[in-house]
Amino acid sequence: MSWSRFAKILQTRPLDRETKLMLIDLIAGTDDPKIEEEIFTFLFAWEEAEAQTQKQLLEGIKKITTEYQEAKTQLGQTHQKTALSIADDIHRQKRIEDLKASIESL
Amino acid sequence: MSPLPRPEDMPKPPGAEPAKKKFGRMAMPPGPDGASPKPAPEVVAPPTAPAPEVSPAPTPASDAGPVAVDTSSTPELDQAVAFLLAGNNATLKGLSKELGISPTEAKLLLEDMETRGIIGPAKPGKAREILVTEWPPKVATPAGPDTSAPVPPVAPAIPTLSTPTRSTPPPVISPVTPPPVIPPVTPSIPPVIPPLGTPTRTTPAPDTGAPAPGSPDTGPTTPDTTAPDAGGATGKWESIKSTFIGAYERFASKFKGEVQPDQEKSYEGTIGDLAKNAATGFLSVVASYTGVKIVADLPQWLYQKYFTNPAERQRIKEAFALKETELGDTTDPSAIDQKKARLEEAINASKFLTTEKKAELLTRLQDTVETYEKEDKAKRAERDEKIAKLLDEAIQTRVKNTQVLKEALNSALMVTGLSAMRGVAYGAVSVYERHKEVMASPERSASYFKEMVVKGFTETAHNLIGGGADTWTGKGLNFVKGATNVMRVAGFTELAISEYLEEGGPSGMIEASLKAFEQKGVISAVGGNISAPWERLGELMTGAKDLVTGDSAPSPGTTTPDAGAPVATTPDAGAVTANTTSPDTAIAGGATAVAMAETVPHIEYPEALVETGTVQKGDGIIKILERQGISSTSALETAREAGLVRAGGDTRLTTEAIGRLSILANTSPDGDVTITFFDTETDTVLTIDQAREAGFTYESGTVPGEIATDAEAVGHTAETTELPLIDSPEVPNDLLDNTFHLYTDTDGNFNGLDHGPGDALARMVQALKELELAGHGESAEAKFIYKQFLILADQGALPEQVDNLSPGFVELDTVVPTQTGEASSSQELPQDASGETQPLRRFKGESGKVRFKYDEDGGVRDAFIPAYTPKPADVESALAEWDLTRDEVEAHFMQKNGGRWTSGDGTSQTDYATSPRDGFAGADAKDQYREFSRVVEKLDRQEATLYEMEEAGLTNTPEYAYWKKETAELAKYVGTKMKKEFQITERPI
Repeated sequence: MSWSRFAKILQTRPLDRETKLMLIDLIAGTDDPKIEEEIFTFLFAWEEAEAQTQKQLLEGIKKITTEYQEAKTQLGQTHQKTALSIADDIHRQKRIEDLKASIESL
Repeated sequence: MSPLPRPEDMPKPPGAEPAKKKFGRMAMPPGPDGASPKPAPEVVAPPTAPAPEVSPAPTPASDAGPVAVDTSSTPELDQAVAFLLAGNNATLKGLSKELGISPTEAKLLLEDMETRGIIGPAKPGKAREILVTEWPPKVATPAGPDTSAPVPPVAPAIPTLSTPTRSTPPPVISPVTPPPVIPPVTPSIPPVIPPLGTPTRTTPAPDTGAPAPGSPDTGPTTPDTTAPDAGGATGKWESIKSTFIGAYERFASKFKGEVQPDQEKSYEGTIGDLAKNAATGFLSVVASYTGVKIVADLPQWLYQKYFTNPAERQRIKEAFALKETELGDTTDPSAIDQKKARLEEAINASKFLTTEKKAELLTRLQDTVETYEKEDKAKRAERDEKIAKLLDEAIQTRVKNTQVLKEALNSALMVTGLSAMRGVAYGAVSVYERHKEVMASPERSASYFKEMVVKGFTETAHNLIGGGADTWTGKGLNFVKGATNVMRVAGFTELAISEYLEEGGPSGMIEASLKAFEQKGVISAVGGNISAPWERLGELMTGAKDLVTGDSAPSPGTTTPDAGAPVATTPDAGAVTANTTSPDTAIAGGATAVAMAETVPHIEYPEALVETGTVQKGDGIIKILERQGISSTSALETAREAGLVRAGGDTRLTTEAIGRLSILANTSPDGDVTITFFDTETDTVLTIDQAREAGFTYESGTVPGEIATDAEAVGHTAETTELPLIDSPEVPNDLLDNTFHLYTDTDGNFNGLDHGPGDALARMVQALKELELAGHGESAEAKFIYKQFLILADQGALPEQVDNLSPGFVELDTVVPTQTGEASSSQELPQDASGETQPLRRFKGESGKVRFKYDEDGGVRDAFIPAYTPKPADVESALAEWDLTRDEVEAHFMQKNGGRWTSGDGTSQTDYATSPRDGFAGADAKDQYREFSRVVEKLDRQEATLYEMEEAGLTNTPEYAYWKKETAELAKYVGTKMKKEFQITERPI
C-alpha cells in the first residue's frame, strides 16, 4: 500500500527531479522498516497537507463565488425594479393620455 | 499535491448549466409577484464557452491561454482594423455604421478582434484599447499588455445567463459557478503559476538546461529580452547593455517568482545569453554536486513567501476579467448602455410626459445605472480580491509545503551522508521520466528500447553538437544544455563510484556513514559530510588543472613516505600512504592502518590506545602515557626503563610528531609495560632511536629555541627573582653530622654558613647532596648553599664544577678538584682521591660541548650537545661539505612545496597552536629547510667535537666510543637525507 502510494506521488505530484531523487535516495538507503515507515509517514503527511490546501482553496473559491452571485442577483433585482418602475411610469402616462383621449372623444 | 485546481475540476453548484453559445435576449428574472417577466430589450450576450473542469492531473499543455495575434484576416476584418487604426474607437455603433453591418455582426467582429489580440477587453466607461499599430503586423506581437502577461485566468462563479433565442421564453437565471481556471504550477523552482497555454516542457527543465542566473535549476533557459527591434539599436554597446539589463530583469523577475512572459519561448539567443547560460549551467552543476543548491533556492523561496509580488495579484485580477468576458459574464457595458439608451429613447419619445417628468425619469434612470455599475464594480472587486487572497494563501502554503519537504529531504540526505547515492538514483529517475515521456507520446515510431535508451542518449548528443539550431548562439545554447547534463551525470556518477569503491556499495556507504557518526560525533560527521564534496571538487579541479598545465607536482594531500625514515622491523607492517586529506577517507585510512598494525603477530595495538595525535606544548612522554591510562608512577618508571626519562632532561616530542606519532604503551601478560612509537602516516613501529632519527623526538635542552614547559618557566622565574631565602622549619640547618651549619637572622633569612673543616666547595657539595637525598633539594637551605657555592666558585673555583651543580642535581659523587685549569680543548679525565678514573661527564672543545649521561653501572647511557643556536656561517660551512649552499637548499624545499615558503598565513605549520590531525598539517618549506640544515650542522659539530676528543687523547674512553657511535649513526641519517633530497650519495669533502 505504501509503495503504490509512493509511486503515485512520484508519478503525479509536480515535484522537481531533485526532490524525487532525494525521496528515492532516502527510501533506498534505509533497511530499517521503521525508518522507512517514518519516511513514508512524513511524505504522506505532506501529500495530505497539499490535498487539504487544495480542498480549502476550492471551497473558499466556491463560497466566494456563491456569495458574489447572490449579491449580484439581489443587486440586479433591485435595479431591475427601478428600471421597471421607470418603464411603468412611462406606460402609466401613456395610459393616462389614452384615457384622456378616449374621454375627450366621447 | 496536485497543482492548483483547474477550472474543469472546480465543483459546479447544483443546477448549473454551461452557457450556451448563442445570442439572445438577456433573461429577466421573474418579478416579485412571480409573474413571467416581460420581454426585456434585446441584449446581445457574448458567446460563452463550456465551463472547464478542474482535474487533479497537471496537464499544463492543455490549458488555454493568451495567444499571439492571429494575422489571418478577412476583408471585413481588414476594413474594421483599418477603421480602428484611423483613430476611431472600437464601438459597436461605429463599426456597424462604418462597415454597414448589423450590430450583432459588429459585436461578433469585436469579439473576433479581441480574441485575435487586435483590441483589448471591454472596460466600463472606456473605449477598448487598440493593441496593434499596423495590420497585418510584421512580427508576432503580444496581444496587449493584459495578455502579454500570461496569467491563470481564474474564472469566478459566473451566473450563466441562459440566453435562448427570441422564440423561447426567458429562463430563470440560476447562479452557475463555473470552476475557476487555475492552471497547475510548474514543478520547477521557484514555484510559479505558469501561464495558461504555455507549452511547458515535458522533461523537467531544472536538470536539463542552463537556468537563469542566480537561480540554478529553476526553469527553462531564459531568452534574451532584447526585442526584435533592439537588434537595430544604436550600437553594439547599446545592444550589450540592453541584453544585460534584460537578463537582470529576468533574474529579478524569476527571483520574485513572477510568471514569465510567453515571449520567452521565442527567444533568439545572443552571445551574452550563451555566456550567461554556460556560467549558470556550470554553477548549477557545482551546486547540485555539492548539495548546496538549497542555498540558492532558499532566498528565492523566502522572497516569494514574504514579499509576494503584487503584480501577480494584478494579473490574477485581470485574468478574472478576461475569463468573465470569455465566458459571457454579465456586466457587458454595452448591454447596460443599450438598455439605458432604449429607456432614454422611450422617455424622450413619449408624448405623454411633461418636460419635468421626463427630466425626473431621466435622472432616476441615470442614477439607477450609475448605482448599479458602481455596486457591481465594487462587488466584483471584492470578489476578485478575496479569490486572489485565497490563491495567494494556497500558493504560499503549497510552496511552503513543497519547500519543507524538499529541505527536509535534502537535510536528511546531507546529514546521513547519503547524498552520493543521488548519483546512483539519478539514472533511475531519468530512466523513469524517460519512460513516462515515451509512454505519453501518442505515436512511437520506433521500438520501446530505442525510444527509451537510444533516443535519450542521442538527444543529449544532438544537443552537444548544436541541437539543430540555425545560429551559432543557438548551437551554443544547446551545447551548454547538453554539456551541463553530461557534467551533472558525470559528477554524480564519479561521486557515487568513488564512494562505492571506498566504502563498497550502498550498504557500505551507509555503514561508513554511521561509523563516521560514531567516531567523530554528530556535528563533526555532519560537517565532514557537507565539506566532503567540496574537497572532492577541489581535488578534481586541481587534477584537471594539472592535466591541462602538465604539472606533475603531487596533488595536495598526497604524502610520500620518507625514504630515509627507518622502517619498522616488525614483519607485515608495510608502509601505507594516505593519499587524500578528506576526513572520512582519513578515518578510513587510519582504520586500515590500525587494522594492519593489528596483524603484527607478536604485538597487539588496541585501537583505543591509538592517540589522535594532539600534543600539547612541552608534552613529554609521561603525559601521553598517563593519558593512555598508565598511572603516573608506572609511566615514570616505564619511561625510565625505556630510557625516555633521565635526570636533568627527558625525551620530548618534536613538532614533526604532531598529528603523526602515536605513543603506545603495551602491557605484557606478566605486567610489564613497553613503550613503542607508532608512525601513523607510514604505519610503522619505531624504536626510540628510530623516532629520534626520524625527527619525532629530541632530548630536552638540545633544540635551539626549545619551548619550555610551564613548570620550567615557573621554576626559571622563581630562580631569577631575588626572593629572600627564609629558613624552612622542616629542613635541618645542621648537616654532615652536625659539622655543616646554616645561620639565619631574626627574621629567618639565611645570612651565613659554616662549612666546617675541609674544602669549602666540596663540603658544600656534600651538604647539597645530603639535602637532595633527604628530599630537600629544592628547599631554601639548598638554594642558599648553592648560592654561596656560586659566589665561591666565581672567586676561583673551576667552571666545570659550577655547571655540574644545581639544586636538585643528584649525581654529585665526585670530589671537585680545587685547582683551576686553563680553558683548553684538552682535558684530563677527572680522578678521585684514589686515582681511579672518573666519568668524563662533559667535554668542551672549540667546536662545542658534549655532555654525557651514565646509568647506574657507570656506563655511558647518552651523549648530546647542549642547546645552542647554529650561526649562519656554521650552517653554510656544514652544507659546503656536501657541495651545497643555503640558497640551493632553500630553493629546493620551496620548489618541493609548490613555491611557497610558509604555510600561508606566515606561521609555520609546525607551531604548537595548530593541532588538528584531520588536516594532516605537514611541515612547510621553511620548517623542512630548518630541520635539514640543523641536522647537517649538528653532524658537522659532532664530528668536530669527536676529532677534538681524539686530539685530547680521549680515544680510549667509553665516552669517546659512545660519541663516535652516535656520530656515525647521525652521519648515516644525514647521508640518507642527502641522497633523498639532493641525490648526493657521497660527501665530496
